Amino acid sequence: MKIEIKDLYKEIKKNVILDNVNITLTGGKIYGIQGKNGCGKTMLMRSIAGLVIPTRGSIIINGKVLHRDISIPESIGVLIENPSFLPRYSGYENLKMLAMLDDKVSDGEIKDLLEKVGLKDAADKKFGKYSLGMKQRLGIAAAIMGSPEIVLLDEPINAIDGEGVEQIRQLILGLRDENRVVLVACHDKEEMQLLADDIICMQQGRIVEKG
Amino acid sequence: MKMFKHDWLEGIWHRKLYLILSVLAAFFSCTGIHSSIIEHQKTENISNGTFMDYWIYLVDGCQAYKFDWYNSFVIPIRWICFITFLLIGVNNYMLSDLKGWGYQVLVHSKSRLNWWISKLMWSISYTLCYFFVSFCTVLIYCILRNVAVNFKPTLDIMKSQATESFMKFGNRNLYVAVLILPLLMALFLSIIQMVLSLYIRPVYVFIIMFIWLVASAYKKSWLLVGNLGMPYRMKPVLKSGFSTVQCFFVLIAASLICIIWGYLKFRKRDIFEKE
Repeated sequence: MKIEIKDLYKEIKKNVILDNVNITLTGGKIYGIQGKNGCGKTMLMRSIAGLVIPTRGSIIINGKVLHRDISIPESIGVLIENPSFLPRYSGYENLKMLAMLDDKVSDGEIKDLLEKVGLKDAADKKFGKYSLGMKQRLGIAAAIMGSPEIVLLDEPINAIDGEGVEQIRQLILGLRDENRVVLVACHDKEEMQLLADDIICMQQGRIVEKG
Repeated sequence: MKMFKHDWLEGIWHRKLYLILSVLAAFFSCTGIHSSIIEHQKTENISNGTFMDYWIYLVDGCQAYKFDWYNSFVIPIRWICFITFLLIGVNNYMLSDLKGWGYQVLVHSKSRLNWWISKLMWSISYTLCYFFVSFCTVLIYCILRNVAVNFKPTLDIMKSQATESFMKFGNRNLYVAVLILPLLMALFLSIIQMVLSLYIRPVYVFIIMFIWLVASAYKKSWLLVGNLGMPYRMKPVLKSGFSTVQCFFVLIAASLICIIWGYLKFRKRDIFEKE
């Protein structure tokens, strides 16, 4: 798995959000993105996920150019900003509906996944009654469901309690696989040191430091 | 198909209350013609009519207006409501499905084209459901009121409603004018409403659609698309009216153009969790 980002530039209403971002992400590593609010972390993730169209530049995923050869990466899981699901359905039902679109995930796998993210006891509870931390856990579950080759996690430990952070950390570390690129955005520098193999620092839409 | 199942569930089944608008439009239309028939039966010897009389009353629209200081334009409330209630039902679903968890659905669909096709199928299905519910409402009303359930309009009822010119339609043309064309027009309006929602807020799109419909009732013109689904504007009801065959093909072509236009726009649209 390889993601090449070349001269990525994104402007919205004359505001430069991403400014000539160049980077190559390869499978087998967990990449961390750091930077202040508004530095472009989330926009970079949205761009890789195909949700946002670059003003200029290209994103090439395993040799396929995004928005030319494919519109959405073929195997991707995403957690961007606040996870949102259908409030009238339970956590399990929400994941099941997403799994229905992919057809790769069995009911048993969904239940295992909910257990891994610490939602085994809340699987049948309606999403509308979930706490912030539970919503975040469900978002992570949706992002890693089906073992996608690209996993984008934007602030995954947001609103997660102390014990839960260790659980989620181990979950993310377990995603490391030569066929998978994991990109994690996190404010917490210490957490980033524990999670990431490579850290990318962003500032005002640019990558200022890599490594 | 998998995406369509999601759209069927979220866009139609869980929004089935909107289909009550279809029942309301059809029901009040039926009570309107029924009351009118009862009134006429007090002084004339006319039948109870048929299902087709009741259906025509719902979809007929209005005569082309000729400006006159002494006869002001009257908005055909029945027809406007019937179409507008449909547009209310289809107005906001597509964009609301993109918000929040909608981006998850888009990502799992693996393709913006798949997503767009699914939304089109939803729009078409919803419109068909809407018409089907109206149809059933009229049918049930007719059964309960001992109105003959057949597809032949009756001359005495048409005369009582001042629509005897509808008898000039041949059978095939009549069915096209009162069944197919209103449906195709509604489908086109649903699709174009979806496409315009990609440019401006759905509430403004709805207002534009409403104005377009009222303008269609006011003036006979190819550009005012309500004309193409209004039996009153068809030949031979209106001598200078539209050909049903031409309207059929124009509506199909216009819908296809909108479908392609919408996809080309959606392909380049940024998706944010909050619009």
